[in-house]
Amino acid sequence: MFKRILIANRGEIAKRIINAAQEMGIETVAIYSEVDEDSVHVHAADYSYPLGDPTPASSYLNMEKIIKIALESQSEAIHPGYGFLSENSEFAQKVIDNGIIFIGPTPEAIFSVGDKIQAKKTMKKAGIPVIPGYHGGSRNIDYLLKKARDIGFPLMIKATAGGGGRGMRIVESEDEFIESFESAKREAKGAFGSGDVFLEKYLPHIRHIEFQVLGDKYGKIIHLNERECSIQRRHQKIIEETPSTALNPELRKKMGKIAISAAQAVNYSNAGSVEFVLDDTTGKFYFLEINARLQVEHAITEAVTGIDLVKWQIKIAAGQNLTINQEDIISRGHALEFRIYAENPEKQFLPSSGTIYQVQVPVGVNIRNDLGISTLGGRISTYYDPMIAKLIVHAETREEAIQKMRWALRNYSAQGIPTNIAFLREVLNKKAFQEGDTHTTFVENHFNKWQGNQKETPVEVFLAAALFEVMEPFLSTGQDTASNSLINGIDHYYSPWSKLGTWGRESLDAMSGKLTTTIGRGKAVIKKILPKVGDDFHSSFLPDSDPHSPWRKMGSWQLGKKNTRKL
Amino acid sequence: MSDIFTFDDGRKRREVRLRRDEKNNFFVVVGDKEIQVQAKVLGVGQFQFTLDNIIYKVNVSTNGDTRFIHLDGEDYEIRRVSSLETEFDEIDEAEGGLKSPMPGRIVKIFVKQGQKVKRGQDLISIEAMKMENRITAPYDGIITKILFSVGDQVEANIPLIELENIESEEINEE
Repeated sequence: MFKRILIANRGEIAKRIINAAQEMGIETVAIYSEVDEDSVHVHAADYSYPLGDPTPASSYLNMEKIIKIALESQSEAIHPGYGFLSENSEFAQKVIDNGIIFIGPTPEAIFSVGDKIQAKKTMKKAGIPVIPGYHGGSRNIDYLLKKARDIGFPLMIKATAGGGGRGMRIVESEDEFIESFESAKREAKGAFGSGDVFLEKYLPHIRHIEFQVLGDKYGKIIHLNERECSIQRRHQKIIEETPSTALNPELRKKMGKIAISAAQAVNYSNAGSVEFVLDDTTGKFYFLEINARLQVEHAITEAVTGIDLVKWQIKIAAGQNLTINQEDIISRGHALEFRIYAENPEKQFLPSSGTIYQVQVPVGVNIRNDLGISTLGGRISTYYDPMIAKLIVHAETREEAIQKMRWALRNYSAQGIPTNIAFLREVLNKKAFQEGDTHTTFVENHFNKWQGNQKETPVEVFLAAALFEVMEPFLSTGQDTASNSLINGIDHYYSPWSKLGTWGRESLDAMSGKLTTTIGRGKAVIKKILPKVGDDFHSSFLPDSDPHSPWRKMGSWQLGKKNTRKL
Repeated sequence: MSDIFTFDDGRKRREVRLRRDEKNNFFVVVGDKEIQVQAKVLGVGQFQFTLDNIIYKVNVSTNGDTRFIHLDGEDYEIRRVSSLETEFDEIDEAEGGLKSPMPGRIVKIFVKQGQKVKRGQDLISIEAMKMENRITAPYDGIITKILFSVGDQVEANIPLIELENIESEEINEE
């Protein structure tokens, strides 16, 4: 096993990988740009090296600098995380050429799935269904227009080198084609350095289903079931869940098999995702792409399978055999991931930036917080992705997972800049979401021109603000105007509250003694953050009632007679 | 002895009157009611208060006059109105929509100075984090000034275009 690895990434994913490595007894090396000096990953790692200039090209995308640091720090391997250099075959090759192990698939595999057109051709040859389209690589606008007519409208223009919704346009009719083409080309050029695009039939009512695959260097490859990532905005995922409400065991088996053949067609190793679009009205599905990296949403698969994907990535890269067999993979319960973004849902989800003063995260059974910033706050810069954190919950059923997520989000607070938290809370209230009616058009169908929570501010909020004014001056040092926090406690001798004594149990008891209510002594009514459940809240995905449930046979979560996980 | 605090949630203003009696008990005056209130610090930026037998847990942080408040599972952003500030200060400068929504680079300008535009028409395309965003006309009008050109970097909330409202102009002429 490695002694030391470098993590060529930042924020929550760097922290996630650092944790996994440290648990395995591997030392970690973080890299950071100027603006990330105080970022969580820098302090979590055993060693940290500065990259300087924060622009991505000269920091987290700077291959030479990163490899130099890896050599200098005597790192034996590099984990690229997601985004940045994770799907760059040139980088993977350079890493290998410098005698360092790349934690990920081979450069050849990255290359063959990185070119989406080539990947689709390969898949078609391997007998895997792909969406009808034009992947010829022509840049001639007249020819492309002719091809567009052949495919039929609506269609989609996508960047050949793209991902994450950049350089992507939906064209409803022929007269929009040229303008959309120009705009997609411009965006693709800016984002990926190449303005090449391809055309594809646009399927309006689809779900986005991906299968997690894991393979070792010796040809063994398994899948870890699906994730549904249909709920997107700006063609980027915000909510993921597993299992999908659209898959039954037969379809899961069929798609899983095809996912494995797709991965085998490019000799894939390490962790990756095979993405499909599923038309659940017909049950037809098409290969979309292979993401040759760890996904943002890998955590939900970890939750239901109990398998640590990052640790396996490292073990596989170190040359170990994948000792898990396909039949060992059993998903239990239901997991949801909601991504917390610095953005304005009211303004077409435009990214926001600035200082977050504090983050309060929910803590509880089967709640996982993958945080990109400290709970004491931090800056969200404009240089990188505006994702603040991931909130992952896991419960026995989908219904309970929704309830848990509702509780968790109500206890979530990230203050200082606009975030999507209120929007995410609202998603949980949508009947369509509760019923599992999730498609890629979910956000535009249910949140078109959403103007935030228009409820009146409760009087308690104004009272809280007034109390804060009274309390705050006695709590800060007086010099530090930037102080945002109540740190010193309320017993400062200037405090008007000090004479009230401490506010521990005694005073609560004393207080309740004065109360002439029915609640009894020693207890105060605590207005709790309880989820409000509507009468019509039903989920059809209870293990007992859902004929498609893969866990039906297992019963709920009592420990099984035999251990199904032979790790 | 009592203190009055005024806050604005963007829709309306609200006064909160806190009164302290000689025994140092605090009372809040809400409408015509006066209720005793008690508070306790829980942690950084976090406290709880008891009102009417109900304990509320609150997270507060501040930025200038802005108060970010998390209470009862929801988030609020309100502004402290200083006692000197009068209602007259409140007149909004612009209808908005013509300011840059975020920091970024201008990639396309669809209009020319002096051009008449319809509500909803594309004016400027701005790119940030590799995503294009279009700013559209919030009302019918005439472009009186374009303040930037293609390729310029702009900060968030900076005016990009001056657009004169046609309707209001016609009213003025009458």
